Amino acid sequence: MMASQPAVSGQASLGVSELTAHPLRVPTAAPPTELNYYNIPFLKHPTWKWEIAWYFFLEGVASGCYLLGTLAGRLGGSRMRHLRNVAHEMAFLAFLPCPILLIKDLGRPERFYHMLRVFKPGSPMNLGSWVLSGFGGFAGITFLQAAGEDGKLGPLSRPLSRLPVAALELAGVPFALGMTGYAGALLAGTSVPIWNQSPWLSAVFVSGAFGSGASELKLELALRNQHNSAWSGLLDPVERGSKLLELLFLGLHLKRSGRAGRPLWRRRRGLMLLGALAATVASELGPGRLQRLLPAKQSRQAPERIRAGRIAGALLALGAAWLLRWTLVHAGGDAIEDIAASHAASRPSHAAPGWGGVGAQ
Amino acid sequence: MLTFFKSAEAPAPQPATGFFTDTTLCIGCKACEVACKQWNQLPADGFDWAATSYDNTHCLSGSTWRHVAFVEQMPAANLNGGHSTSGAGSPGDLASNGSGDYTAGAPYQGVTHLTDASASGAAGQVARWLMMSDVCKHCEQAPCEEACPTGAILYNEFHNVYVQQDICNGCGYCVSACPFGVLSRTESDGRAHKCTLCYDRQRDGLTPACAKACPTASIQFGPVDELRQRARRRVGELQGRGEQRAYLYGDQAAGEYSALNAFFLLTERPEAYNLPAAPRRPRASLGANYLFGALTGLALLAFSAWSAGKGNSGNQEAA
Repeated sequence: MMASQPAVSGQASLGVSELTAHPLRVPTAAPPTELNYYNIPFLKHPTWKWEIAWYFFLEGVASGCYLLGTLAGRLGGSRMRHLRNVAHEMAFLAFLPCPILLIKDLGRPERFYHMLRVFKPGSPMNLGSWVLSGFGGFAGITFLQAAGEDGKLGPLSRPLSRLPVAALELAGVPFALGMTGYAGALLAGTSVPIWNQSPWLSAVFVSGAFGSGASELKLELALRNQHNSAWSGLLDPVERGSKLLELLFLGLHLKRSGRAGRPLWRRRRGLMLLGALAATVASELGPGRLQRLLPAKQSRQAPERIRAGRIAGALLALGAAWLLRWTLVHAGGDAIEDIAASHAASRPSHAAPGWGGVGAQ
Repeated sequence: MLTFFKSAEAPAPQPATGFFTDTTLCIGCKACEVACKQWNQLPADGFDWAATSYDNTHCLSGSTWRHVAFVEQMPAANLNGGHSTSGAGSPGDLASNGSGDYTAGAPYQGVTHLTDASASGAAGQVARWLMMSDVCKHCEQAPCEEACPTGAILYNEFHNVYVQQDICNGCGYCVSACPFGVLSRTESDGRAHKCTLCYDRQRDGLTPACAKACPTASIQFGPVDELRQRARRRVGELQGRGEQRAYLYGDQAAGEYSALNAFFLLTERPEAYNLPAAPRRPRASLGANYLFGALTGLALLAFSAWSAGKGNSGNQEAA
């Protein structure tokens, strides 16, 4: 080993970097100014990574599917029954990875149940833990009944299909609604500049969840090669309306955030947002146009090509939803490193005049 | 399992304690940092200095609970030797709203604009070396405590914000919630750490290690009410002597943000010490987010219900 002599960088040679887990890289040589202390961020990097981005996406799919399935079952009559069953199957399957992702994200995964040792609804994360747990129960039992009715559970199908879930299915609706929106509130309840500046982030997640649920159902039905105009009559307008609302609320969020929101639309994060926007627009082209963009195969029959177009459209819409959540989560780190944005987020305001001292007097 | 969750009897409440950190008395000796590390058995931070300063700890973190900031305000002439301003980068558009930057040749105006006109000129050319021992602010209504989903963060009997290490599961929410960037999650044990205000010492009637070690009484410990009175007297005293820039950071609530039980006497704008000028209370935007989220959800639910019902009653054809 060459490491016997201390290197120039003391931290490396002392071997303490692992112990201290210092949140900083080597600072730049900029002298401090009044508004900047050696380019060192005064906020801490969020600990959330890919697990949380995926979780936000999947919980949206799960809760969106659950809500659409419940409505289809209640109000759609017999023709919607199959859609309702598929929706509840998808809701539970999308829910399953969620607790695993959340537990993996913890610094001490073996203590995950400490989330539920208190009921503290003032903390969005605690509230979310209870909502997620409740939703899991309702989605689970409704899944068993729906999949049983669909004949997917082998010999257990028939007894399970008789589960009396009508009331339970409805009781799960508030939990599903909570699932759609608490993620946005969770991000808003922080000090990270791109998240805490506007009242619109929760609405972004809510509309995104409805859209993702509809897209996921369209994908699953296309994969199963099942189509029904009554189903499209529910899924198409809901998907389109939700996506429009999602983009509207995202725009309002960016506008309201002002300078503090800049890390969200600059450089590669801006490209990612653009990508999500482009995918959303492309998904709206419709199966007819999309299938023409796909690689042509002479052997394909017309219905087969329409189906390919449907799958492509649904995948684009889901990809856009995923990319937006990925960007929102990961831009948190960019935001705290943008020191000017951090200061912009804590500029004296009427609500929070601060203790500005000499500069503010 | 049940006995595990059974809560112990809470100790009787004591008068709220805190720190008054008077930066005009700080000499940058870092005795507080060392005393804190020794008493709390925290690992060292290495020797990567922040630029040319004596700051090797950079900021507060899970393993650094006292951090001495070294703010060096030199007249521009002293800096012409080698410093490049291009590296400063990001603060550009904020810095332009008044203060000096380090462009070569021009005298540094960063100090003078803050004082009254009579102080500018000669006084503006004087180099200032501002030192500040930063610490967890122990907010009266702490965002980390409000965010914590496990109840690991609580107020102890001295109304200090305390992280119960046997409860913390490392979710990281407090890390993002703190507007001062005090907490961080330590990789080695996956839990959030910060200043305990030497809870163990206080329970035995001892002064916290940093305040005990401070040789100039820059760090003063005691009941918060008493500290605030003392601090206000000190500001008056300094201003009477001509130090008009002295003010208190966090001695009282500022709008939605609560008072800080560990507060500071500063002589420069908060940003210079890497403090937010006006921290927002993270919880403040929650209500509106829940409201607009719920309204959006109900609207989409109604629209979906209408669409589902229409498909049922309208003309239907299978494709």
